[in-house]
Amino acid sequence: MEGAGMLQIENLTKLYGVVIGVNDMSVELPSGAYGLLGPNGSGKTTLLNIITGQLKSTVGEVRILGERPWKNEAVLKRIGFCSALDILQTKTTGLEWVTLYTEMLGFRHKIAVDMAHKALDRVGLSGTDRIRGIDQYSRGMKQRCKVAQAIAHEPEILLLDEPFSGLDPIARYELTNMLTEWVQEGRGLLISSHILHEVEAVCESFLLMMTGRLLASGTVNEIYDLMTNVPKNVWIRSPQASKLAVVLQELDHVAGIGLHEDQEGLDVITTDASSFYTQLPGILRAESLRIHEMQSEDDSLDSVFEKLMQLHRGEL
Amino acid sequence: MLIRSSLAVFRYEFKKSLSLGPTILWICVIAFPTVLQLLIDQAGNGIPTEFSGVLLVGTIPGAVCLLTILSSMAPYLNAELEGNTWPYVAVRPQGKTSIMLGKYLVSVTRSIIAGFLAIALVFPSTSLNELNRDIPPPITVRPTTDASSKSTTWSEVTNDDIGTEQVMKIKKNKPYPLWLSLVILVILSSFCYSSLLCLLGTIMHKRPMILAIIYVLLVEGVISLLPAVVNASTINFYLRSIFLRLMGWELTDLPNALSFINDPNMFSQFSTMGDLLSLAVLCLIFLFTANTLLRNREYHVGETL
Repeated sequence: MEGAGMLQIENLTKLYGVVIGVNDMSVELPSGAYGLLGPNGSGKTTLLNIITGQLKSTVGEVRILGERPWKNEAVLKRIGFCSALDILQTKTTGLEWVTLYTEMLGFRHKIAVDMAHKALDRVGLSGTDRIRGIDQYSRGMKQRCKVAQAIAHEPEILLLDEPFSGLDPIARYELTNMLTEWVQEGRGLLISSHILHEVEAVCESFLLMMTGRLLASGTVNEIYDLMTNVPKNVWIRSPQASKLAVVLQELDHVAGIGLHEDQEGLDVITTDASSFYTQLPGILRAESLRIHEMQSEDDSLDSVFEKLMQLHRGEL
Repeated sequence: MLIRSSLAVFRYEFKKSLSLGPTILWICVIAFPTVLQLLIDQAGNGIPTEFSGVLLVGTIPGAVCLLTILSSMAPYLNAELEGNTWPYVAVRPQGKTSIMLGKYLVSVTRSIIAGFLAIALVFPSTSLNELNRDIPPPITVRPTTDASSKSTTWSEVTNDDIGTEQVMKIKKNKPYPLWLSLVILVILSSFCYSSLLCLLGTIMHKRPMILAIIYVLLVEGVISLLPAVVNASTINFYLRSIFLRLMGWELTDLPNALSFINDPNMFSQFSTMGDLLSLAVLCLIFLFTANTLLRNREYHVGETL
């Protein structure tokens, strides 16, 4: 694993007929923990399905642990995968379900049962819960079951698609701890999510995807910088809005200003929100201006993605 | 590894198939031939007892086994895709083949058990028991003179008048009793129809039951009865040929009521071994094609379903 790197993606494109799932993506990841971030429909699941050999790339190449995953039996035993989809097949117990998928990796029944127990212990599904039917499970318990089948055989790389979805705060905390331990053991991890704070406790680096494209990648600090530095809209309500607009347009990082018809509202587009927020109180004091209200766009990843896409299209 | 993995799937799926709902349905299917025969018995002169053999072929390997297989094998892939468990199968080494073979074994086992139980139930509880578990052909069999159906041995016979001489003892091949012929047919149809429905379930995984029912009715029901070469590609063609030979019936013995099948092209001209070999080849072709499709196709779980 050390020599080959965890994942190499080269000019990867996946088409579903005329719909693009992944669009000309290239990235190389050494062993470590990575968060795959993007809004719903951004191509995260498609990418994970290609990496795990469930789908075949239309163009380009993917290598996991140095090997192509499509129809490659040898590499599949070295990876663990947890799908984002809820288990709907429910006529068995959690223990039987995890045991089956462990046996399907070639382990004897008795050994597979032991491994399933260990994995279920690790994800915190209690002894009484694991012998209940899956149809009686909460969404969080099903999620634990899904993670257990992925880790039971102690794979070299764990690929999790939206693993925190449906988990209550306690379960989320426990899963975060488990994954942190996993990473500390030196194993590879790739988690997809559309919420940054869910995965930032576990992952040191992130890949940002939208509409099938890899928009950016980097550490958590670089992502936060990105979130701060992309052009941002700030809405201000002031009785002296027109005067404020004149002052603000002098600032280098103010890319545009719009005055509302009521002469009180002001839309400011800034390319450096951090500097804008720092300078604004001083300007107001110096010019004796008052503001009644100020709102900025939320700092969620969705807005970052939107801005990154606009940058990508040359609209900003 | 493939065997172990397939057996794991078999154990898991077989246990799952024994849940209450499917079991009640299964018992109803198993009881169907007995109920039908009891109704015939009650009707008195409804259908001559001699035709019970033909009827049982239609109801036990034809209905009991086929319905069992239809419910367990046809939706084998659909169940994984709609149950959202396909991704876990697909990321296991040889997982796709294992799930196919494991479920194939479940289907065969359930079908054989159903067929055997139906046979065990129908003979003691209906008028067929009075026939000592053997059914004559629809009309009396003509004494066979064909050398191929006899085996000859020479033995010494002592006669006071003429002394000792060598005589040829003719031993006619004894037909199998009906119950045993049905047992053989149940085993064969379980393996063959399971492989056929495995292929159909793989080809059309979104609406597998519809395709399977249409195919079985059209191809195994209608086309297999056409007196043309095309019927040699159906399972029914070989099964009924094997049954005819096992029972020691001859085409020329068939009554007017069954005259529509009184055509040599309706039955295989091979030996029983030839028919068995043909069925084995068909089975292997179906399973191999299903596996090839399964391994080379991409399935988009949760996106297309």
